[in-house]
Amino acid sequence: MQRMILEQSVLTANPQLRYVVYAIIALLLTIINVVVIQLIAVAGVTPNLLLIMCVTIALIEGQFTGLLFGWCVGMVFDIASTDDIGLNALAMTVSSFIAGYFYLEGKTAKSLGTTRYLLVVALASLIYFTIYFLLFIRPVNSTVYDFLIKNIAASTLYTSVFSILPMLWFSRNMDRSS
Amino acid sequence: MQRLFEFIVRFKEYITLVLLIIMSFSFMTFGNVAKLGGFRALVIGTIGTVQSAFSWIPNPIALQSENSAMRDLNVQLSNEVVKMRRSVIENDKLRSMLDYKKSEYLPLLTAEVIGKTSTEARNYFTLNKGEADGVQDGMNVITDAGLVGIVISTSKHFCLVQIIINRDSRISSRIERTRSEGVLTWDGTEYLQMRNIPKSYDVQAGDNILSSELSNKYVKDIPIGTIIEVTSDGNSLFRKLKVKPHVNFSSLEHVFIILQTPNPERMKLEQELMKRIEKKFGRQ
Repeated sequence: MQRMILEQSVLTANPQLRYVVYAIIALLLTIINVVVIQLIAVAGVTPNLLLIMCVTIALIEGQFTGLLFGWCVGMVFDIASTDDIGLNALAMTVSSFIAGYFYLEGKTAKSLGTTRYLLVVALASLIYFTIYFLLFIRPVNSTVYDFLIKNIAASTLYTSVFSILPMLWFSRNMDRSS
Repeated sequence: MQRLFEFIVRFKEYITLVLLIIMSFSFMTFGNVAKLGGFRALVIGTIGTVQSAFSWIPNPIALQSENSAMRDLNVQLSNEVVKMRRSVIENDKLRSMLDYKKSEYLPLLTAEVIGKTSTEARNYFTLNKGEADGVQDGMNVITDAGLVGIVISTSKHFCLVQIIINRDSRISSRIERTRSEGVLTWDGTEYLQMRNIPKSYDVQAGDNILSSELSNKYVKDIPIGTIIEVTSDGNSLFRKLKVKPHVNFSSLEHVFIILQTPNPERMKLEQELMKRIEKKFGRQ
């Protein structure tokens, strides 16, 4: 535990190192999101781990950093996946920006370790998937039911439910460190 | 300038957001993916390698849906195979029938078996040709394999054939090799029987049976079957022959009708003879 607290203090004291860690985690999550996320797909719906990370960054670092991070992660994901270049970047930028409104300076534990975090992820997911599917699917080719229920609502719900895991992790570790 | 700088710093989030949105739309609209092609290919290649490393992990949901799709495909392919096999068999049959039709000098009419009726060991086929096609009672029905039966009833577009495996069948026939004559009947099984063949006649299994010119109903020299068993009735002077018909009646689909009726003059003469006998000796 002491080691963890030490590591956290090192990261807190060194922002550059922190961003490098973020970048490494983002790359790993990109690979996971592209390669193995299909293993936990339910009726073709998968959670977006990168979005959860972007929301987390926005809640830890603030709106501006979250915004830039969201765009960069979105671009990387666009390149790694077969999506149109810029599509994920746009959706991720806007949802990170919205998540940044919930940034509480000096109260990171309150932002991440509570159900507030889930609600922010749910809102950001809703915005992300609405933008993504509006531009990607073009609803004229799909029924309203399919578009709303399956594509947006189901993806939002799954991503929100999945964010319980980081919330619990943050809740546990923030309590220990405090 | 200072105020502009302050404005930018104050609204940096919004300005950045707008810029990033514009950049994203620019990539989506004008972005030349081909320029990224090499880099993208590298990334996708790397991811593909990682993906292959994880490919051993089973995905139950994907497997379930794949299984379902495979089952559907399997059923479709099975149906296709059945159809193709049927087509091949039908094609072979029609080809052999065509060859037979070319080699046969008798006037033949091709017909299709559209119905099979069996009542108390009396078996009949319904064909899709009738009086409109020139079919008449008494015409023989054959295939390239041999004799099928005889037309016993006609309508405008259909006719009824009494096939040789019928308890009413009596076919004057002849053993091809020795020219020995006999009468073929049906014993209710899949075989025909030829009785009253004297033991002195040279008969053996494998001999072919043809229709005889003694018959006033059947055209002569039509193959009927092959002797598969020759038995002696104890102290009797005769032999009993078991004959396997050449025609497989269970799978018959196409036949030929010989458009030739028995000689009316001969029929008339024989019928008059029968009447005279009946008149003299009475109906027995």
